[in-house]
Amino acid sequence: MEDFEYLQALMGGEELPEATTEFRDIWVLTDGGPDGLKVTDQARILAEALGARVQAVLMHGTETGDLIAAGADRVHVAAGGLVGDAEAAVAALATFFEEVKPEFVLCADGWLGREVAPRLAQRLGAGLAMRCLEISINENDRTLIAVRPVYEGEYYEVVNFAPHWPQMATLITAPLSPPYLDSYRAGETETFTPDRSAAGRVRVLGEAAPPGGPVPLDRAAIVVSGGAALGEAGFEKLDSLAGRLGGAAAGAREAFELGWIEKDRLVDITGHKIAPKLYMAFGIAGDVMHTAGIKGAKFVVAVHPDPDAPIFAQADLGIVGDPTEVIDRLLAAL
Amino acid sequence: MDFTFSKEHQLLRRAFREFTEQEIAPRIDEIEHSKSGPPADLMEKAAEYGIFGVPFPQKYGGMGAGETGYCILMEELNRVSPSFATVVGAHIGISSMAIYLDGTEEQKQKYLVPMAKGEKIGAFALTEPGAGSDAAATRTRAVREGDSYILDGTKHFITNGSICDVAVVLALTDPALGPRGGMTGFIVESQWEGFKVSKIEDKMGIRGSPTCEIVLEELRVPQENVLGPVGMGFVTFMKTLDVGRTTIGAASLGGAQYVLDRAIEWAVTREAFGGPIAHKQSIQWMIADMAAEIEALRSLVYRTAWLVDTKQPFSREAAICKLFGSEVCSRVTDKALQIHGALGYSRHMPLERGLRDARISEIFEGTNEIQRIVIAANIFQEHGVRIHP
Amino acid sequence: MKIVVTIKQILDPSGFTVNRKREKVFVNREEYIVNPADLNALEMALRVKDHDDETEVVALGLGPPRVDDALREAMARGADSAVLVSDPALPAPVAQAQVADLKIDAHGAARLMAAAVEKIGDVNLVICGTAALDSGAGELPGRLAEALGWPVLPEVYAIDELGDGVVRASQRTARLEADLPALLTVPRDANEPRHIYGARAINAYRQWQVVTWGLDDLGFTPDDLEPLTTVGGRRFPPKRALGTRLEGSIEEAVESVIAQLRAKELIEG
Repeated sequence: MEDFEYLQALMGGEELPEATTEFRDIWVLTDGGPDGLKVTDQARILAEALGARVQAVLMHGTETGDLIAAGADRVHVAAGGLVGDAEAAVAALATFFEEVKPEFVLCADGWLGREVAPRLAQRLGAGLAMRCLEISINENDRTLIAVRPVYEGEYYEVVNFAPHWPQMATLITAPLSPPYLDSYRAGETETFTPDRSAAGRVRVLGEAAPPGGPVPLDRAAIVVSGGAALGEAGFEKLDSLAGRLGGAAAGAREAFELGWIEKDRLVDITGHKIAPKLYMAFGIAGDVMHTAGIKGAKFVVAVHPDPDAPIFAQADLGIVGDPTEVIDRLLAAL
Repeated sequence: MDFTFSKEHQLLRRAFREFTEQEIAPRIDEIEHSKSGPPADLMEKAAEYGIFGVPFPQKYGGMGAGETGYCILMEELNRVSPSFATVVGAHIGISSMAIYLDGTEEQKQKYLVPMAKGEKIGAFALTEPGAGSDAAATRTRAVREGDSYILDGTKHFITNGSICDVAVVLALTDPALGPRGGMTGFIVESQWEGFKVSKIEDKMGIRGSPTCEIVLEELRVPQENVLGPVGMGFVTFMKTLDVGRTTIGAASLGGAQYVLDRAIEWAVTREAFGGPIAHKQSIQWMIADMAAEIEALRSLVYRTAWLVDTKQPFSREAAICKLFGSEVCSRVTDKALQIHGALGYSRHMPLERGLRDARISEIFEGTNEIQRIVIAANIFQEHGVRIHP
Repeated sequence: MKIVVTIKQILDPSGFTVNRKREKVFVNREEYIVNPADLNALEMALRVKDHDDETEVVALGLGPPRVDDALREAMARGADSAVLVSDPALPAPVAQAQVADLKIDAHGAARLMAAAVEKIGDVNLVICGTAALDSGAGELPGRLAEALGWPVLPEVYAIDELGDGVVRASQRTARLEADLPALLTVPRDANEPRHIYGARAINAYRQWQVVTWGLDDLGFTPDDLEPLTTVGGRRFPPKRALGTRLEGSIEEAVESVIAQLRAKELIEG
């Protein structure tokens, strides 16, 4: 008996209570991209615990093979597609889900997660946890438990759902590992004709002139910065990298004293003290005056030819090498 | 007793903090190297946000924030730029204030309103080559001629002299009577013939505020520009300085708090002997002493502002604000510089400038020696003794 | 034009520190600020008002009585009036950094705010910050639009035209159009919000009022607002591991950096 309990614990504990409502299955919204496969993979893991099926709504294209391989038991192809126009997508999905009554609806953070999910949740009277890092099921009542970052990832909050369905979540897919694709997996494909009554409520008129001007240093989410070991020529490349990443270019004090940057771009205790999400230091040795200026940075990447440069002690990731070469390779890869 | 700031003053402080950090702080170098005062566009922006009329009623184009609001302004301005604070302080605290205190309704409409809106900048012309602390030794003459007065003389160390549109000037109308009935205040426009800027001082600190020598040569001032009753100018000017003194304490408070914040930041960042220097008792004592003096100054400044706003006597307290505040700011800045070590001595850090800037507060608007006389005179007066300077 | 701007009050992140090792949030100063993106939303509305005296900008907030301060700040920056939805039966959303036990979720908040927009009356446009700094979700604007039945123009950088029953606006890459009434969301880098006007700060407290509506005024009972989701606790990211070096060739190291930055959503792609 003890052995059996041990075995049961090893297999994932007690079985979850069966669904007591008319709401069934885990539904995944996907535009057919790799993020949707990752969400389907997560849905499959939850479905095994729940004893539910995974159903996917494919909103772009007709390629259902990978979705089935990733875990979808049934794929509903929206005839003519449903991406791009959130008004149409929300209305069509609301009509569809009111009919099929999903127990859970998942999708990736992104256009679907941000423009569609909250509105769909309101239409369906569903609870929603957005931008989740982790989702699981409460063993007592089959409700979702979600973990999501707050204050830009300073810490996470746990979101509990009331016993009321459907329940929805959007997932941050970037940290999820690639889905396990089982090409022998079987699944069904169906096509449905979406309700397009809301199409065209928002109309695209054309392209917008991109907002101009450099990103102000104090508010930039990404700052790429150079020091003496980057060399003056490297600063032009630094500007390109900043442009590519949508961030701001800056420099350390030695770069300012060498006349390579203006004071308004100086990062250190005497200049700007900044707190970007990502700080990339190229050829900056990193004395205490400099590191005092970047104390608020959430993630630091440092590149310096000297393996003993103090900047490495302050960096989440360090590369010992020629900063210009690293910038060149980044520009080529991004 | 309630020592909390009102909600509006809390929001006002945030307004000033936002303005100083986003608009002034990025342009400190530009301000410090300018010989003609803060950049014009910055002055315009400050005017748009009402900086030049903080204590005056809204019916005169001001903010209606009282002396407390004005102290908050000076505290916040002096955190980032004592030069800018000096320009604004001279404009509001003594120049516009003199007109507000003793001007006629017509004078207020004509001068105070545009000054409070920042459309016209003011200066306060009291000091002369032969009359600094001893204002009673004023030599500038004002001679009645028909409906006008003709002013002749030299005023020096006049803040805003070269950028002002309006100056309030103290001149002798009756040399025989001197300060007791023989001195009169005048409102003068810098565009008038006979108003000349003869020199701009090269100073140790507050280098971004223009300090000038002004020569008045047969300057014709119409009678309607006499400020206050004829012969009562000395009273007007002394009364104005009284109000201004509190705000020098407030400015000193801002400067001192700023360098304390920098020192704390450095103490937790800088490592020596295996850890942040904040763990060294020598540093802790300095920080504690700085904080204690600043806390005492804060209570003093805002209690005095409260006395002013509630129309109670404040002359002695204002002098104590100026005396104690200016000395606290110098002492605290000196300690903050010491905590920073050689970095503090570097021109890259704001501490050496802070030390140079702080020094003026022990001198201008009545030296600290004069403040001690004012305080002592007040104390002895309570005991029925009248002392002579 | 009548424009409603939603204002959320959040705990000032500079007032607390997160200790990942001890798994604790230390609130050093309990101070509140207006959610930064909401200031961009307000700025967008005020720019419409700058060019049209007839435009009226109403700030709309939801929460405990202290949200009054956030709304007065909105007026000090230029909003004409302010409405606070607050009710003793609506327990305070506790500051995110404290033990959070939200008694109203975005689903209920959207319904209440939609009712408030309808009660304000004749509103042409609602402008919201794209997301709140505390939750980082951006859940409310979409829900509010649905509760109102209005179309959404998301992530708008500028309003190009407003009037004759339509709004035309530019996102980063596309220009969009919708019939009024509509809801716009504005990201944090869309514009430079104007400062607080000192005289307005004084008047916001001495002269102007924030209109407060309770659940009754909006036709709700507490039972109507039973939350679908609640915040049940906190977790902490692992402590930063500083000093990690990438071995191998530069090429491999760069590849690894890109992969790790993407996985942490620090760069796009």
